[in-house]
Amino acid sequence: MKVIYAALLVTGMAYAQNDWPTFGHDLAGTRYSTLKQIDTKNVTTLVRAWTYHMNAGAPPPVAAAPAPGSSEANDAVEGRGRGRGGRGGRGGPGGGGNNEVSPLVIDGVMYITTGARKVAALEPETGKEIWTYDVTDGAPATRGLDFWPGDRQSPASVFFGTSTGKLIALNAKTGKPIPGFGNEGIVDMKPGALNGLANSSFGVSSPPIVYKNVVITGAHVQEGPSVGAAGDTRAWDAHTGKLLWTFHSVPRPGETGSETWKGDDWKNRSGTNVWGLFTLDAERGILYMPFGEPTTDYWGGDRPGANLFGTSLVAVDALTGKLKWYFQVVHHDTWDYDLCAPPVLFDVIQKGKRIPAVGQLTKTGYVYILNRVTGEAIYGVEEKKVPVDDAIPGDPAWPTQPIPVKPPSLARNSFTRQELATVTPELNKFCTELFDSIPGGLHVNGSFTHYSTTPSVIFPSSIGGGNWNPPSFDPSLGYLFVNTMDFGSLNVMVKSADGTRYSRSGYNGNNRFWEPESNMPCNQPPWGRLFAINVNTGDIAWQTTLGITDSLPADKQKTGRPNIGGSVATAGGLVFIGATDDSRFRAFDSKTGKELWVTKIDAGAHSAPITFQGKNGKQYVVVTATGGGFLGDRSHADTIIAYALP
Amino acid sequence: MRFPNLLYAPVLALCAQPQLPDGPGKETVLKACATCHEIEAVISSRRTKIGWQLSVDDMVSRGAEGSDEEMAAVVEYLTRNFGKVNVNTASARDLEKALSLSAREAQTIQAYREKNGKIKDFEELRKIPRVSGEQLQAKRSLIAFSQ
Repeated sequence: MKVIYAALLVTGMAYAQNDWPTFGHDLAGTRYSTLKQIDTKNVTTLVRAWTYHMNAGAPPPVAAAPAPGSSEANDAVEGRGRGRGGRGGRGGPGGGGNNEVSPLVIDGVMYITTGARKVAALEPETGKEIWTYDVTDGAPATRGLDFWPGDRQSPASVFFGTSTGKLIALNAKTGKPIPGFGNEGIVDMKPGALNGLANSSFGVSSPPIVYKNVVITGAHVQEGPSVGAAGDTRAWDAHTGKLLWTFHSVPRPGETGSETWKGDDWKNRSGTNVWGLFTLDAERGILYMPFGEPTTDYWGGDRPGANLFGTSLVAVDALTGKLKWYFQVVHHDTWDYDLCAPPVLFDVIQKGKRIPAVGQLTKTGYVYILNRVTGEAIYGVEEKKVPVDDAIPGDPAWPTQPIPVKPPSLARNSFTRQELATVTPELNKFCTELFDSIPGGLHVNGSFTHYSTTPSVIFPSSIGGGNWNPPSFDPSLGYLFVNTMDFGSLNVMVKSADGTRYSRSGYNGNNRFWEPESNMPCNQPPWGRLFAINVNTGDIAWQTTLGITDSLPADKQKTGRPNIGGSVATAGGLVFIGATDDSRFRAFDSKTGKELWVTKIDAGAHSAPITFQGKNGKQYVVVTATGGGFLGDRSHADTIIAYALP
Repeated sequence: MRFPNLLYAPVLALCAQPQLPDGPGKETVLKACATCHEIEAVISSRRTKIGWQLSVDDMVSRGAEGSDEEMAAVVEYLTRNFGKVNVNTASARDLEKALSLSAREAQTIQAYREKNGKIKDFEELRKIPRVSGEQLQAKRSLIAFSQ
C-alpha cells in the first residue's frame, strides 16, 4: 500500500480513484487504476456491457468490401457490427471516421471526442448520450480532451483542440461553449503559430493537458515541406483563453539549443511538435514534452546540425514554460522517429531510495529511463557510432546516437537477408523476390540504416517500434507495460526535379516491408510484442507476442501483429490492451504476461483503453475501436465498447 | 538467385523523376495533401478506391482540409493514377484494362470467382487455368483481393 500511496503523491491526483479524470488516468500518465473488481480469476467472464456508435443516425454507408478477419464475429456479438456508416457526415465507405479517443470519466459522466465531428457526454454505465456538441469547423482531436474542475469564476469545463487549430472550452454539464473563454468558447490558435504563412497546416490531434488554471497545447503540423507553421507548445488561461506562454520548439537565436542550427535554417522551420501526449509532475510543476522531428522528415540537407528540440524529451516549468532540461533521443533525425508516446512518470526504487523518474518509449524501440528532475539517465546512455557511409549526398549523417545501456531495444532494429520470413512458402517467395529485385538486394546497413537512393529496408519503420502507444505502470510491481512492433519501412529517396533536395518515396507501389495484400511482414516473427519492464532494475521482466495472424494455420498464428495504441494496468493484476490490427481486445496477467482473456471486437482498437467504477458499483473497461489508420488495417467501425462482469 | 526484375523498372523510373501526372484533381491533391506531406510520400503506396477513400478519411480526421467535393476529387485522382484493382469485385472490362489481360482472360477470372467464391490470394489467382500467370506476376503490385 505504501507504494501505491507514493504513486498517488507523485501524480498529485485530486480525483477519486474510481474515475478516469485525464488522458493518462493521472497527470503522470501511469494509466493505472486501483480498481480490482475485475481480476485475474474472473476476467474470462467479462461481457460486453454497451456499445456506443459514433455515427448512430447517420445515413447507411456506401457498400464496402468485407474487412478480412474482422467483421463476422462482431456481427454475431452485436447483431449490427459495422455499417453504421457515413464517416463524420462525409459519406465515407463505412463505419465512421477513425478515432483514437481515450474517454474521460469524472463524477459520473463520460466525455469523448468522436470521429463524427462531435464531442459528447455519455452515461458511463450505459453509453447513452447526455449532450453532444457539433464541431462545425474541422474535426475534434482524435485522441480526446481534458477536464478542468473550474472554480468560482468558471464552471467545470472540457477543453479540446480541432484539426483546424481551434481550442474549444465547453461547459462540462451542458456541452455549451464557455462564453468568457476566447471568442464565445473558442480560441483561434493559428495566430502566432503560422510563421506568416497563411496556408500552412496547423491543427491539434491529441488532448491538451490541464494543470491548475493552465491549459497546455501541442500542435499537429506538417512533415514537409521544410517551411511552415511552428510546432511550439503553448499555454492558455483556463478562464479566458489568453495566451500565457510559448515554448519555441525550434530555438531562436540566443535561446538554448540554437547552437544546433546553422544560419537561418531555424527560421519558419515546421515539425518539431508535440503531436502526441504530455505528462506533468504536479508536485514539482514540471511539464514533459515529447517532440517530433523537424521538417522534412526524411531529408535534413537544409538543416545540418543536431536540430534541437527535434526528437527530444523536454522538461519545462508548467506555469512559465521555462526550460529545465532536455534529452535528445535521435540527433539530426532523418527517419521520422518522432517522440510521441506520453513520458510516463514513476519512481525507481534502488537500495531503499526513491528516484523520481520518467520513462520515454520511442519509435526506435528503446525506452529511456531518466531522472525526471535532472534529465540524467538512471541506467546509463552511451553515444554509439552508427553508419554514416550510406547517407544521401548533401545530408551528412550524425555519427553517433544515444543508446540506453538498459533496457535493451524492444523492437527489431536491423535486418539481413537471412531473416526473411519463412512463415509460409508464398510469403517467403514474395519477400525473397522483393529483396532480390535489384542487383545486390535491397539496401540494409545494420542499426540506423539510412533511407538511401537504393530502395531501403529500415527497422524499426517510420511508425515504430513504438508509436504514440501510451504505456501503463503498475506501482505495486514496478513494471512499465510497453507494446511495440517488429516492423520495417521500404522506401527510396528520390531527387527533386530541380536537383536541390531529396524526398522519400515508396518502392513497387508499397512503403512497408511486407506483403501488402495479406499484411504479413517480410521479416521473421515476432511482428508485435508486449513487454513488462522492471523499472527498478531496467530489465525486461517478461515479454509475449501481441496479436495473431488469422489467415495462418492455428499452430502458426501467434506471430504478434503490428500495433498502435496503448494499455491500462489495474490493481486486479491485469493489463488490458487492444492496439493490434487483428480486431481483438485482450487482458494479460501483469505479473507473468500470460494472456488471460481475448475477445473479437468490431474493428482494430488503435487507441488506449480506460477503466472506471460506475454509479452502480460495477467496474467497466472501455476501448475505442474504429480500425483504419497507419497499419493498413482494413477493418472499420465507429464503436466505443464497454465491458463489465455479468 | 538474384536477378534484376523488370517488374520494378517503371517504379524506379517514377522514382527518378517524381511528379504527379496531369489530369483532373491534380491541383486539389497538391492543395489538400502536399501542404502536410511531400507529394512523393503521398503516392508512395498504391491502393484501391476504397483504400484511398479510407486513407483520405483518416487524413481528414488528422487535419487535412477541403470540401467534400475536393476530397472526392482527391480520391478519384489517386485511384486513377495510383490505384489497385480488386480482382474480387472489378468488372471483366476493368480487369482487362488494369492488368493488360485479354478480354477472354478477364472473363475467365470473373467466371472463376462467380463459381468458386472470393479469390483468396495471389497463389490462387495465378492457378486459374487459361490466364497468363506471367502477366499477373508482372502486374502483381496493382492487384488487390479486398477493399
